[in-house]
Amino acid sequence: MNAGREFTKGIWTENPVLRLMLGLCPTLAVSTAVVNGIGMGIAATFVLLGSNIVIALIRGVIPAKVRIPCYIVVIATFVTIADLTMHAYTPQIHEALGIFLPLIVVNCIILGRAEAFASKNSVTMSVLDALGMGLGFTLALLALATVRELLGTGGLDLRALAFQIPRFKPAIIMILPPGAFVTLGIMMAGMNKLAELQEKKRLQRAAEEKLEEKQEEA
Amino acid sequence: MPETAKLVVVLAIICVVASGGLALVNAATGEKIAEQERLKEEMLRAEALVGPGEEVEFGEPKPFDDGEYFEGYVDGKLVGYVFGTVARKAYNEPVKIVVGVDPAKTKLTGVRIRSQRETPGLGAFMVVVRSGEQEPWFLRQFRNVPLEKVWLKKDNQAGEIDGITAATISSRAVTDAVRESFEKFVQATGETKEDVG
Repeated sequence: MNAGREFTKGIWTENPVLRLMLGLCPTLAVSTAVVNGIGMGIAATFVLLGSNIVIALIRGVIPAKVRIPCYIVVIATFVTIADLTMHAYTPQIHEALGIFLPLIVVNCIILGRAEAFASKNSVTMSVLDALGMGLGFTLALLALATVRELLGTGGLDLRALAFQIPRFKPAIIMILPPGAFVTLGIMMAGMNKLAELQEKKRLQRAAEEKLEEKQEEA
Repeated sequence: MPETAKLVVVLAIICVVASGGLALVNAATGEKIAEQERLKEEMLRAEALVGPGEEVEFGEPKPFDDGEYFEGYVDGKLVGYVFGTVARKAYNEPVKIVVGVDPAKTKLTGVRIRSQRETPGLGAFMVVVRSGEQEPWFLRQFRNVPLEKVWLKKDNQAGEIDGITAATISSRAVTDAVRESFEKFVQATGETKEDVG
């Protein structure tokens, strides 16, 4: 198995949000500001990493019949750790994420990776998978939140660095739920188009190679 | 071991280990979380009484309504009272508010929002600080407003508070809650206090 591919697949070809369409609820809800998006991304990555490691470690002893409750207990534990830690050290982000932080427990990305990957693969592979998927989730949130915050408030507020676009009248709808759906829809359409082009190129190359082989034979 | 027993045992062991781990994390962060909450509370009270970044010393909590109120001192001099209230008629969840009043109990010193979940871009503007400013413009309007003028302009001619565009429900809920709690505070603690002066 290719270790590099296990890491990069989460970022592009199997991006959890844009390709697998998982974890859309928190994605749509917290992408109103870039800071919140990053906070959510880091929290989810931490949980994903922790649960993937533990599940890969104990995958041999978990009976198939109770695997889902086992996974949920492991995931809920890491979510609570993230929740308490963020409450103690980053209270502002903790407040902004609100209910969506504890709801990472039921985030499909995390249960999905536990079921589809960590329960069948080694710890090293599961770590790479978790990091890739977490990074993919964070990047998707970051892209979505940047567009929404820029267009919706006419500037960015990154705590240390804040600016406003001069003489720009912000479109409030971008901050509201419709803005999230519209932006995410356009991003998904773009990803699909790119993937389609890549696939076409790959097929074309394969066809050309076959043709060359045939010519050589002849 | 029968299979059913194995299921129970494995799940039980995982649960026990998980709760043990959580107990450790809770013990490690509990103090820090309580400290954060206390700091936030004190900062809000100081901002409601004097302004952002000011140092205020608070006396012991005294009972008022369902909660308590505090006396605030700057350099040993009484600068006013702070208490909490809740705007239940807000658009989403109830908005928790911190209200500061002057020592004579005739006008507000300031108002702060402790927590709110109003719509971003609309009601949530109540806590938005415009660039280059120190405090949210909506809350700044409450500074030094006498009790009888704590109304939205569109609700009462004497009112001095401008509502937030397209978020009248949120603005009215906060303004009304501040006024009502102020009235209640004056009734509960008497017009003025003897040791003022």
